Parts: sequence; structure tokens; C-alpha cells
Amino acid sequence: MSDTDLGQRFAAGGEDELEEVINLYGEKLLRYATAILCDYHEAENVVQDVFLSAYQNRKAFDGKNLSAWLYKITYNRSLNQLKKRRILCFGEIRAQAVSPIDDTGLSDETLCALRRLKPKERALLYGRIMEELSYEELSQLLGCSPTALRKRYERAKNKLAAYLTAGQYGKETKHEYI
Amino acid sequence: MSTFDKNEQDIHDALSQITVDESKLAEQVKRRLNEQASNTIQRRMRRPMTAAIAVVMSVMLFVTVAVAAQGGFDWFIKRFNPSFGEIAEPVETYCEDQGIRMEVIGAQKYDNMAVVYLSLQDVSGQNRLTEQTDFQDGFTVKMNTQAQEEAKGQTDEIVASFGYGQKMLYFDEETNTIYYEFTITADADSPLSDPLELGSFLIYFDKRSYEEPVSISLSDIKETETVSIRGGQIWGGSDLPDDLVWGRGSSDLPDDLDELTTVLAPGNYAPMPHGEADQWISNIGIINGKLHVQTGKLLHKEFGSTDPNLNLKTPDGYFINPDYVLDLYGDKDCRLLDLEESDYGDAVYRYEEAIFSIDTEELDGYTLCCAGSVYSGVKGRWKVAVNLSDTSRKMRIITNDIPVEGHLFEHMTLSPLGLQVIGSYTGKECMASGMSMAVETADGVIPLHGGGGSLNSQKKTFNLHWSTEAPLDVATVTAVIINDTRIPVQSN
Repeated sequence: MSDTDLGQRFAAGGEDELEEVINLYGEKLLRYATAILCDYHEAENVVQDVFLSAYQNRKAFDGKNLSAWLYKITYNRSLNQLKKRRILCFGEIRAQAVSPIDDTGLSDETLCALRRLKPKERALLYGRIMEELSYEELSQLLGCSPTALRKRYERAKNKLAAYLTAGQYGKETKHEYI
Repeated sequence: MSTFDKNEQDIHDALSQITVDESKLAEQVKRRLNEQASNTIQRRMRRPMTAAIAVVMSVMLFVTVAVAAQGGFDWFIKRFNPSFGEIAEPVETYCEDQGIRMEVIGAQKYDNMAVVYLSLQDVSGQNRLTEQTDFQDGFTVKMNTQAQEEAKGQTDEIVASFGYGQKMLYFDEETNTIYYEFTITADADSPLSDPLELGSFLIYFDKRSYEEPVSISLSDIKETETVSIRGGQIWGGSDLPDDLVWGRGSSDLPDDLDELTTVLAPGNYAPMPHGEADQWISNIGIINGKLHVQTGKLLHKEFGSTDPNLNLKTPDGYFINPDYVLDLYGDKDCRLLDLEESDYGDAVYRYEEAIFSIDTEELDGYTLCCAGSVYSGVKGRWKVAVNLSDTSRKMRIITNDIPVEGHLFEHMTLSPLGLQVIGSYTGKECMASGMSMAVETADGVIPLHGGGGSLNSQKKTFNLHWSTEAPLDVATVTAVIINDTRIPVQSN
């Protein structure tokens, strides 16, 4: 069944169609949100919110490109979650940046490296490398021109690769948010 | 992507490690969906149940309700003659939670500006409301955009924002009722919902400010129990010395989180002058010839004590401020938490340690003083939806793209409540909010006040509003005057 078929049935359907959509996209969106948020618990909540929101607003969805719609909501919700997390106190920012992980499937090393990127860079790298999205598709998702994304991708890719090589206690310490 | 370079392969390998458990996701989402449906039904049922409980409440409450019932919209307008009373429509809709009734007596809405006359009344008989009662950051106004944009998957750039002015009109001690006038303005990209929906999740009853000496004799202060902490255990602070500074004012990380420093061991030395149990003098002592005073406070409370300002009063009556203050956080066992190992959510206590450079050999005659505030209040859920008639014919919309001093005023909406402007600018900064704004009418020039709203520095756009002191008869407006530029308004 094509994405459009399912999208149209979801837009007009009920809880059975919702479950079908969750079974198809749940895992992918959980991985995507975990990569952006670097926090599995938050990602779980965000993805639940995504499906709730999609279901409640399904009448407004035109049924086309369900995948892109769900990824877009997940991306937006993840950024909103990060904004909520953003607290002025330095200490809290620091805690956000390097608190240890005991609950995700990410290794500490990968997590620390990912957290040194901006959330938008994480979303870009994940979309390009793991989902194999084109720059045009990413452009729709991230709201940036394909040309700009291409440059940003190269920078982010080289940064993350360097961080992964440097390991958990690499030299760079500057963190940027959203 | 058909082929990966080495960096991409490394990243792919790393990101492939993300493991998730989606097996319960469908069940969790459906459970939340059903919970939401169930909550909606319960909320619908609440009002009749509250009414039934009210029947058996005290005589005091009976009298209160009777007085409130007499005081409807007409009574309110006659009694207070509020500024925008003549344009407000009667509403008289209320909700109750935690023994507090929130009633919208009257209101009017023009596009994204609204005026609301609202009362709060303690109907529980506890008389908790005071002249200090306030919503503070609990006040909410529903916006239309978020749900709509989210359905389109476009929330990224949307910032739903509203501003409001709040004026207390009267506090009736006898009925424990406060009457307010709210003027509300929303951005065009996050318009006020229709029906207008107002609410709150917090109500602050009272704010008690204090500035008093702490009952501690400084003449007996000696060295006390201390702990050595890593730089990572200092979560923040003010006026920190260079050896403790790490990118103050930025989010840069400390250069060296391992460097040790000595602070007081958390304890419970003495009560605070306000006498509340949620805050205390945790410890006091002399470390390296400096006086350290540490206060402790319970975290994660909506109400209670604010962070205190500590100072020392000299025998001559002068006040000495601390050299610097450290922010520390403790877990449930009062162990000081480390930033590298803990999150803000792990903290149960917040400690502030003030350090004073004074001659600790001569503390006789000095007094430790403390100033701050204590808030009382209640959390709850108050929400009132207000249906108002269509007022679009009472507004005038001007779309002339008027250039004024490097700013393009693209879209102006005149209503009885004032003026909303959408525009763009070309310079480095938007100066529109500081411009003098007035409307010219057949009866003379009426100055407008305000200029609040939102700016988008990336798109170089602004969305600002100015208010009137009294209802503006838009039919009589002949021009809008921005600084010295007169923009004629075509008659309808």
C-alpha cells in the first residue's frame, strides 16, 4: 500500500488506521526524535504527542505524503520540546548538555558527540544519512534552501565525525541551542 | 544515498546504535486518546456537581453567592463605569475551581485586540483573595494558530504570543471579590481564538514582602563544617570572582570543572525572618577569613519564598552586600549535585551561599539582614469561553504601504481599542515601537500609547499595537499620525 493510500485512509479513518500508522512509522519517528533530542524518554513523549496531534488534526490533512507530514510534526515538536527545556540558569544548560545517559540505546560517546551539534544539524544529518532524504525533501522539512542545506550538511558531517573520533572528552566545549 | 564517504559511514554506524522500543507505542497513544476523551466528559460534568456541593456549604458562602448573583453586567458598568464599558457586551459566564470563581462579566473583541472585565471571588468562605491577588504567569489566552498550523505541519516558525494589560478596578473585602479590566492584544499570526477563551492555571493570593534582621548572633560565628566541591557543583551565581567565572553571560562551559573550592556543608542552622518552612538559614561560618552564609530552599514549588537578598548591617547602620553568591543544588539527602552527573530535575533543594569580605575578627555589632517575598496561592484550572458578536464592521483597515523613516507600515487596523500595525523595516533595528502614534479625528488629535508587540529580526517585520484610553470612534478618524508623518484615512 502506498503512503498516499494510507494517508487518505488515515485522514478519513479512526483508531484502527491510527494504529496502522503507528505500527508503520512509530519506530522511525522514535529514532528520529531520539537523535534530535538526545533523550529517549522525551522522544517517547514527543512521538506520542505527534500521533495524538496527527490523529486529532487528521481532518485538516490532505492525505498526501503522510511520511513527510509526520516527520515535519516530529521535527517541530522536538524543537518545541528543546525550547521548553532551555532554562536560563547556566547550570541547567550544562546539565542538559552533558547529563549522563542511562536510558537510551545511544552509547555515551555518540550521545556526547551528538549533543555538541545544534538540534537542526542533528535533524539534517539524521534525515540525510539514516533516512536518505534528498536535499529537496529536507528543504521542505527543515525550511531552508537545498543549497544552504548542502553547505550546512557538509559542516555538520565533518563536525560530528570529528567529535566521534575525539571521543567523549574532546576539546570543544561550546554548545549552541536551536 | 548510494555511497557513503568515511565520515558518513562513521556517522551512520553511530546513529544505527539508536535502539527504541515501539512495541507499546500504539497502546500508549490510544490510552492517552481515551484519557483525553474521558477528561472532557468529566469536565462537562463538573459544574452540576459543584452546584450540588454548593447547596450544602456554609451560610457565609450562601450570602456570597447571593451578592454575586445580584452583581451582573449592568450593575458592574453602573458601579465602576470602566473605561471601555460602553463597548463591552454582557457575558456573565464563570467557572470554578479550588473554591475560586473566575467570571467574565463583559468583554469585546476586535480582531486581535480585546477588552475583558473579569472578577475573581473566593466562594469557599476562606477569604483568600487580597489586593495583591494576581495571575502572574498563570494567565492564558487561547490562540487559533497553533492547532491550525500544526495540522499543516508548520509550527517551526510560529511563535504564539499575546500581551495583556491588567488593571484592578476594585477589591470588595466583604464578598472577597476582585474586579479587573484586561486589555489583550495578540499577533496577527497567532490570532485570538473565536470564541475568546481565557483561563489561568495559577492564582497568587498574596505577596508578603519582608526586610528584616535574621536572629543570629554573629559574634559567636566560628569555623564550621565545610565541604570541598568541584567547579561542576557550582550551578551559577552572581558577581563570581575570576577563578570561579566560566563564560559569565554566555552558555560557554567552565574551563575546569575539577578545580576545587570550599563551601559550607548544607544544614539547618536557623529559621528565616519570614518564618516559612520552605526556606531556612542552612549554615553560616568563616572560611579562609571570609564570612559565608548559606540559605536553603525547597525547589519545585509554585508558591512560597523567593530567593533572599542577604546583606550585613554595620554598627553605623550601613549595609554591606556580599562579594559574590554561589548557586548550589542538593538532592533529597542534601548532597550537593554535580552538573556532569545530575539534571535540574534531580535537585530537591537550592542553596545560595553569600560570601562577605569583612574583618571576621570584629563581627560584633554587625547584623545579618534579609529581604525577599513570600507568595501564597493555588494551582487549578480556570477557563471561560466567551462568545461575542461580530465587530468587523466597527474596524477600519488601511493597507497603503506607508513609508515612515525606513519603516514600511503595510497594514493598519483601527478599532475602538486602538491601532494594530503590521510592517517591515530596512535598517539594523526596528524603531517603530518607539514612534509617537496618534489619530486625528473630527474632534482633535488623540494620542495613542503602547507600541508593544513582536519583531522578527530575521524577516525584518514587526507587528505592533497602540491603545487608546477610551473607546475610539473609528468613523470619525481622518488620519493616523506617525511621528510627524500624517497618513490620511479615507472616509468609508
